[in-house]
Amino acid sequence: MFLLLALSSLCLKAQEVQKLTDNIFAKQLPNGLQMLVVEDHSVPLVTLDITFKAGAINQTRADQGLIGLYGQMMMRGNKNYVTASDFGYRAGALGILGSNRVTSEENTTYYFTLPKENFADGLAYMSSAVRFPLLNPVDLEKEKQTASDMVKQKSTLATFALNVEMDRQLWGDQACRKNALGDSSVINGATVEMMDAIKSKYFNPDNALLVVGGDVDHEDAFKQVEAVFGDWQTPAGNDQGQWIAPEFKPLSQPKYFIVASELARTPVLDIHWQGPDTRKDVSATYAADIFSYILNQNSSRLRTALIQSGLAASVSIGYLTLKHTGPISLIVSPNPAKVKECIEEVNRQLALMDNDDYITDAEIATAKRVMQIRDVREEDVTSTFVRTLSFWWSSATLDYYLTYLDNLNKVSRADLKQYVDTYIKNQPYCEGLLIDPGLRAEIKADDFFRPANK
Amino acid sequence: MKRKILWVCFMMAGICSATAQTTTTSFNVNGIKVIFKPTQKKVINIRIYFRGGVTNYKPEQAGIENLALQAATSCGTKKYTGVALRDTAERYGVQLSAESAYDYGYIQLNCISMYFNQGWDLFSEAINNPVFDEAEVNLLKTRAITGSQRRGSDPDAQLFALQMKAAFENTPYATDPLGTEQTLAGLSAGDLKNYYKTLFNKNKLFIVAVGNLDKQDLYQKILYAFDNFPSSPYTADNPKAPAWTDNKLVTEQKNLKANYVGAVMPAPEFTSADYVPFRLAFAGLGGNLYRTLRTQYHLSYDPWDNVLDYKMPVAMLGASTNNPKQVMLAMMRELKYVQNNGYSEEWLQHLKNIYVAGSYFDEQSSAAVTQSLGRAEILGNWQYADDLPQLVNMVTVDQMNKAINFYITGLRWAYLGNLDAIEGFRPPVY
Repeated sequence: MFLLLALSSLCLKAQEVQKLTDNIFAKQLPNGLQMLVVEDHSVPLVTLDITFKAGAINQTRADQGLIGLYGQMMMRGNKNYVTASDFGYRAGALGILGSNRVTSEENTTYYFTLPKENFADGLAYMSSAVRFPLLNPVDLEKEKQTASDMVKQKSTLATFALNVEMDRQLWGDQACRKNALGDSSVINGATVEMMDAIKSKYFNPDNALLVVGGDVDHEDAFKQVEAVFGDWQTPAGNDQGQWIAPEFKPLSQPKYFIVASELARTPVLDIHWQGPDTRKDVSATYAADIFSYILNQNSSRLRTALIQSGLAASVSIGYLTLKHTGPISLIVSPNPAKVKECIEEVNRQLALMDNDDYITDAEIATAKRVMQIRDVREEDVTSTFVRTLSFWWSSATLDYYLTYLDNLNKVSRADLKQYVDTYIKNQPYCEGLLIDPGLRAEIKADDFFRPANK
Repeated sequence: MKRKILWVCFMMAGICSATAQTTTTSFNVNGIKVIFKPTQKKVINIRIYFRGGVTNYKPEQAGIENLALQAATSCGTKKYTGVALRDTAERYGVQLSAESAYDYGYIQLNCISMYFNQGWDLFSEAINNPVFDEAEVNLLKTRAITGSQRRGSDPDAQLFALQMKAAFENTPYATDPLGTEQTLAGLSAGDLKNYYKTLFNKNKLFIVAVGNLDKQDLYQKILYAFDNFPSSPYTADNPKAPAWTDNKLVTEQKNLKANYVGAVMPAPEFTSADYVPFRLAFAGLGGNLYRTLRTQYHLSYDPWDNVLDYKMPVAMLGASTNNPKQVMLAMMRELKYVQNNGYSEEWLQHLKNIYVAGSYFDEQSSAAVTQSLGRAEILGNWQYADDLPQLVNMVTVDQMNKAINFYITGLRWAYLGNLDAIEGFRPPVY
């Protein structure tokens, strides 16, 4: 009850400190920067995480990959640490570790951990990187090369080509809004002016959340954040807050494709659907998580049919919670000697998923309890928990996360059935098979890998 | 110029540690050594370690210990069928797992404190009464073979295998503890059952427990569950790392969009006084290499460095690249640079800063702490893990300079990728 009261007033009193849980506190600066403090006094460390609502979703074909490239440029030097070497040198002086910067579907996040006595210096270090990058043209050319190397390195994994093709099939001409890596030809054409435009458009206080987690007092932490970030201003006329992403075009029919690769020592079957999101069907997102957990349990009907039968080495179903059409995925590693039989069994299972006896009441109860246990585990390691919070902030809302367990507990059998019927069973999907060319010919995969009635 | 070399790889902690503020103790439960660190964390982690690793079995049995331990935790017990064991564990969020590596194997319990009693029941039942059901074992074996095939598609795993081959051919470490498709295929449920029995000797095993636990309760639980273990004299093998001074290159042709280059070199033993100075020195070298390869010359997206805490220790460098020749030359150049020019007080202080933060970082996770304590006990004594922060603070520049020069007497190379890219190229001679 306390939690709900706190949440209901979160928006109304944003510039006052809000106690969200026993150890999580929220506040917003006048410049729009949202802040969270997670108090954890178990070790003398502080983790800082600043997240911007700037990810693949904001991209078009013309600028795909440039937000990630800009994120790389934040690490190349700034007005206080002019070169990347200076920047790295300062990190060593402050005892910074676990530093990383990631651009994903709906956000760009930059985080690191450091000793608590360096908290104030760490804030200044982060401020230098996110507010005052130099965007040097020589460095930009180097980062283009790094971006290219990153794609090449990822493409050495057999599943990379499968994932790229899946995105293309599932999202069509909007695939650029799901692929943070972007397109190499676009990246190679990037200019300093483009980088500066991205900075002005997205990397502003009113589009950001700063999470401080660790051995700090929340009142003091808020003061220190305000001292460093309080004078940060969004450029006049920036209307990014009003920007609305175009909706993804629904699939109209099933799509099939085979990716033949000599890198694929074992085949992979990948089926994707367009799932719910936190704007348009929030209740289905809770059902999706419960449903996925149940089917991933060892003795679920799905796993029993595929794993215990020896048809597959692994099977995993998942849903990625997003604000803009989260994907549902079913990924199977078929036994290479039984690929056809495995795919036929997958089809049978999909047809059964909304049957009343497909899941038991005990499985639903277990799923709800285990999701609570998972929450306890996540909160136990603060340096990663802060990233959990920033993920939910960008892909849903903080309220969504803080009421998550309560809403999971409300999910009923009827909700699960509705989720399956709305998003999976008899719904258009994309199905890909990653397979070695030799095995493809040997088992005549093209003869049986084709549309079926799902 | 001074700043040029003052670079530390701040992407990760240099050394793993159990704790910087220790309350760890060790006690004996009727012949079983127990290492215990009480914390306020909500997650409990307990591991039972078995000494010996790959020296416990023949090369043609590669993978037997890993598979036997995994079968114990997942293929059923006298009290639970395989399905019931896994279901019960899932019901309470209890994670039972097992692994075998080069020097040891373990079975692990990970659960939240609220369900510790349920977790302990499953943990002790799995250890004491596995049945090695043939059908369950065959499924597990099939998955292990698929896992082996999958590792064959992972260039990072393949590069590591090549580096191990370059370093340890004709030694016990030539045996892959996870096994190969061929060795795994030859193992039966009966083989696993017979092998599993050989692990149980109070002098060959020990337990590490970390979490919000009561010591007396833990003592009683261990006594009640494991007092029936047999006890006989045991002396662990202590294989000596091969000393080399050559520059051997091991290659494997693979059509990849990026090639993979690795170097492997000798390192001091964990219990050596040179160990900590070498670790800091090598972390400094790794940081410089990162700056050179990624930040300065963009020769690689992901250069890395690592010192393997094994009984036969080695240090490794690695990177994916389209310019393998340049990367090999850069690796040698950076190594020679630190060997010839040495480290500075300021650089050392930065490395210490990273390490201290890293030791606390690891303390956030109960599993990371049991792993550090267990590995230290295998390699000599768990107290080394507790003492590492103090040992780090005592390191001098002179010690680092001596360690990085004394141990690295040769360099062996591994290469995975398009062989045309290095045709006619001889790796730099140390």
